[in-house]
Amino acid sequence: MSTFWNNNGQWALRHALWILYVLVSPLVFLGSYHFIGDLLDFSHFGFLLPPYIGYVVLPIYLLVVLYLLAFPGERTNLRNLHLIHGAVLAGLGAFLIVLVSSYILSGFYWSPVMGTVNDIFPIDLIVYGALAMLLGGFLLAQPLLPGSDLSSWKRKQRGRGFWPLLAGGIFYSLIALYLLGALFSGVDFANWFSEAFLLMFPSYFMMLLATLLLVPIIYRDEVLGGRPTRKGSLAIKIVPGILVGVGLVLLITTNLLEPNLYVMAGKPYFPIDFEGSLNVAPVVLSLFPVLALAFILVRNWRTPSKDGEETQKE
Amino acid sequence: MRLKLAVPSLALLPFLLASCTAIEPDDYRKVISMERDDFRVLQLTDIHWSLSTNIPRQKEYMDILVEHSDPDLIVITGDALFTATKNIATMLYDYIDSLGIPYAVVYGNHDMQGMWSSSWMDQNIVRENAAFSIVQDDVDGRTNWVIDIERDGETVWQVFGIDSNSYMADGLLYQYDYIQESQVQWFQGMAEEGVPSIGFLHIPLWEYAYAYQEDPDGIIGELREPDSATPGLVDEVGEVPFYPSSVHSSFFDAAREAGMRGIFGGHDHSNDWVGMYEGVALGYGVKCGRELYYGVSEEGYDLTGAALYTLGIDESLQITHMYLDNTTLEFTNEVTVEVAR
Repeated sequence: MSTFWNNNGQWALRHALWILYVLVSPLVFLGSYHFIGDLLDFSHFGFLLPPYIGYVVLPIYLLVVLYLLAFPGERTNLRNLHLIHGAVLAGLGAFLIVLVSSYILSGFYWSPVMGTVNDIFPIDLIVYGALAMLLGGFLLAQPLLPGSDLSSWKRKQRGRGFWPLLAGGIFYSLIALYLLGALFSGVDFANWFSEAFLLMFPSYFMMLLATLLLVPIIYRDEVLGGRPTRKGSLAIKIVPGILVGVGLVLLITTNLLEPNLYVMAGKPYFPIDFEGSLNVAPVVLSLFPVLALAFILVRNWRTPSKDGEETQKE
Repeated sequence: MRLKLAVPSLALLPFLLASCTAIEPDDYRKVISMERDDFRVLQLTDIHWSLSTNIPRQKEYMDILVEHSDPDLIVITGDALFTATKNIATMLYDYIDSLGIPYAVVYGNHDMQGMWSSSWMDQNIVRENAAFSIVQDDVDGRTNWVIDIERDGETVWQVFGIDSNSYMADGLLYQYDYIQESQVQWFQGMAEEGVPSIGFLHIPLWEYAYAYQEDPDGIIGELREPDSATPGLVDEVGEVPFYPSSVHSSFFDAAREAGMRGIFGGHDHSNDWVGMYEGVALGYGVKCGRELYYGVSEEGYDLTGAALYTLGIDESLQITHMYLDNTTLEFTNEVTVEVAR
């Protein structure tokens, strides 16, 4: 296993990152529903702690770990990274299993299959905990196995702003994951033949775009090492620019055509708006893609004169 | 439901065709026989089952209320659910239907705030014992219905459900919606002349505040919500402990003219007050259970439980507020008043 990890681990992590991002998005959306439902006074925090951990904390932490491992910095100690995050991940998984089990045994959760969130809840949380333990154990074991050598993993020089950028990226990803999860979950709860379904399309598009705009950011910075070609640099600016521009125009138009659009068709996607009586959905749907676009434009402000010869300083 | 959009599309065809279907008044109307000398309507409001609800416990809570009040009809006046899943919504209406008592539902402003489509929820709330139908036509709101209470083939009472709708966008704010003119006209068409009636809705009417202005003590219950300033209404009555619709509906005038004896809602969890305005009892039921938030009475017991309306064959109307503690499952108080004719 160690030889496999030495040679293919980074490749596997880079691909797993995107797959996992898509897979966990409905969980983050689901976890947010728990949070919003308890937002008034957090009086059910204890009851909801396992879903918070299983649906939000674990997936987000896992994404961060995979990102740090898949795109390590020049001075990153990969061995320690594996050990620390593997141990934390396994610990979180074990904690989740113990927590859910104790809730069930004490009767705080009235059944091992309460069936409230899904048909098998809270057993699903135990499964997530077990998966986290397995994955954490796997990461933990890699540097300890004989023949472990991660020196061939590609690294990239981190700028001074890496950690603030990572924090910003996590915050942005939380919103983008929520929106993507809402979009996927919406397959189950959209009013497919309602009068407002077509008018919701620009909103659906912006929900997707918040995630899609992460692709050029990560591709440029992490895959191309921050040195795109002239054509690549132009494409990274123009394509997102067009997508955001068109999306914004359509979003604003549909909201002007039907000011009550989200009252009619958006309540399942944006429950917090209706809890707080604030129509923030169009703001969030506009703001986050625009933020991502602004970030892309700033990072690619200067276009290389010839392929790869001149790049903006990191 | 009124068609608000004019976006031509093949995808909308099924909806457009459905909206062209002629709706007979009887689609809205159900009939229940009065088997004894009174008819008991139990109002459960703001149940608010969510992802954090201990469902077996809350079923036990409602079992006690139902057993204690022995109703002929259960009316759920909105906000039965809150940021929940289809599973929880199914559990709730499985439970309500399992009671084997006719029931009816009006939606509140939060009932679509969960992981389901409105069409799914429409199907979910109409079960075997449902004494109402969801009718989709040009009338606004999804849960408008009337139940005729008959004795010896004659209608002796009418029980109305009026969908007070949910929200309306006002720039970056959402205001509470109101009973639209199409619903008022629908009501006028369904109300039988000379037959007394009561109505159920979710979001309070402006007339609640007028009644409060005339007599803050009302005839039963307490007002424990903080004061609010509803635009427009605040100019007339100042800040009052109500959170009504943002627009003054003409429904009250139509209801009074039709001889409606009382209009009862939910929405403001900490209020269970009922007052009189122009001969009509206006107010709240009692919030069912502690979910989300609830009020505490001046005497210290929770303002949680249910309201029972006893409709007499002699056209008398009694209101009973019963208070059931969510922890001990013991009744803490019960008050009954007769509504003056």
